[in-house]
Amino acid sequence: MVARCASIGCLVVPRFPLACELADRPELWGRPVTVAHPDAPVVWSASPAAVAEGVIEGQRLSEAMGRCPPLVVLDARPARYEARDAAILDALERVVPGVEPAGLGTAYVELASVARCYRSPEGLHAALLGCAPSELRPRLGVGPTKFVAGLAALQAAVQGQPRDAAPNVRVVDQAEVAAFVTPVPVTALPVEAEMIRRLRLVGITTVGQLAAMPRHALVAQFGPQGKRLMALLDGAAEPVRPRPREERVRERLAFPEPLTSRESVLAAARQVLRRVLRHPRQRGRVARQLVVRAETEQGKRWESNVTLRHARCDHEGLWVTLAPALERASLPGPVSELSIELRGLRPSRGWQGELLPTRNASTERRGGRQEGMRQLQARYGRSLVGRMVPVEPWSRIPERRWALVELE
Amino acid sequence: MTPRPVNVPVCIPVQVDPAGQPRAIGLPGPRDRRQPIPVTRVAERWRIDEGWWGPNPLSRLYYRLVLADGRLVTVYRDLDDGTWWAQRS
Repeated sequence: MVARCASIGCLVVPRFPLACELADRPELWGRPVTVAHPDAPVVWSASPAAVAEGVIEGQRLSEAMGRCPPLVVLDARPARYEARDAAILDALERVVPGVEPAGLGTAYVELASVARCYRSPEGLHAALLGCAPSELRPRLGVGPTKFVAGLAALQAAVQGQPRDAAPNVRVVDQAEVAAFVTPVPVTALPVEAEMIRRLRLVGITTVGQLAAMPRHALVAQFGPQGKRLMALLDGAAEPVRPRPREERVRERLAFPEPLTSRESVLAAARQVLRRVLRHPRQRGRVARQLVVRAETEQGKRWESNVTLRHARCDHEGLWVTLAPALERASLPGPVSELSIELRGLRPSRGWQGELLPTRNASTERRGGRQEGMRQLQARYGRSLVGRMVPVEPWSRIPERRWALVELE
Repeated sequence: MTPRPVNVPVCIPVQVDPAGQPRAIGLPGPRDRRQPIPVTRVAERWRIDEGWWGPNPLSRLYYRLVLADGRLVTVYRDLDDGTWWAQRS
């Protein structure tokens, strides 16, 4: 039984950015393809055919293209990858209650509580694999700990057991953990690349060799990271920490013609805000936080998170908070999609207004000023109060810098 | 509601030395009080040439002057017609 020994699952889509791109362009399967990093001209994700030609992740694109002339370099679309990853996590949460995200395309799930809901382990595995689109080629690893489940997922396609329902599932029971882990290369360990580099420098290439090392030497050499690795090798179980479940309401608007002007973005944001406030799940509730996202045609994303002083749900009040964020935003390009998400939803308990209006000092000052201006105008027939407005503040000619406009 | 320019220069009488430097200036105000005030020293001098490519060229030589009564004033000489003007810079 899955629940008895192997109670943690790890769903992995290897090379997630590349998998997303290949799902959209299946004609590139089998060819040397790489996805460029969104922030630097380096390889972010490379296909097996590219790796075979000497292309590695983190390599400069110029070097990668030099090593592999037929290499196809694709621009990264982080917004698209994040959306796909979020969809997978949501689908997983519909199957199992506890889902822990572990980076793009990786999630740990707690299986013990749901194993009895399925007639066979294979049924549960199929349900979990079904959470990710098949064109992404997901893999599932099941083991007694997160560490083993993660390694099993990465090894699934390589060492698929005949008894598994699908070749992309790898189940490792407690009894076979040692035999499974020993030949795994150290490159598969969930540690920093620098640590792996140092391990390989001293000739340690497999987990088995690492496990044979004295524990104190590992800690002395790598510090806290070595201690954590030692605990993993000794079978310490790290619990699955489910992501906090928070109810959110989201609405988005896609534009056939990307928006280039800020005015049109603001107008569209107003429309999306109106729609999200009309959402059935939003009725009678107030939001604590607003997240506005703009996506460009190239998949680049701009995001702003606005926390409200008071939980509210009125359009004008939210717009006053949201508009400055959009006006200040430096958008990465013409906007092809705009979305607004309300977070921290809770039932509205009404708003306690003020019984007596407070005497506002600035309002009083303004009232006095207006009365003074009115009297001046009555006496002299024209307004004598003006306001300085900048005309050419940068000008070298002093009289061209400012002008005086009559205050009505 | 027409915007009015501010800091418009005011024409002033200026006595100059043989080198053309201001020696005493009469500050703007009522005519009977426009007594020339001696200049103690020239604190700063700069030239502005603007619009020489257009129909209204402008060429000014600005002086920041320290007066005998301790005041610091900014004046300029219009290099086109040689008139003197006071202006806050």
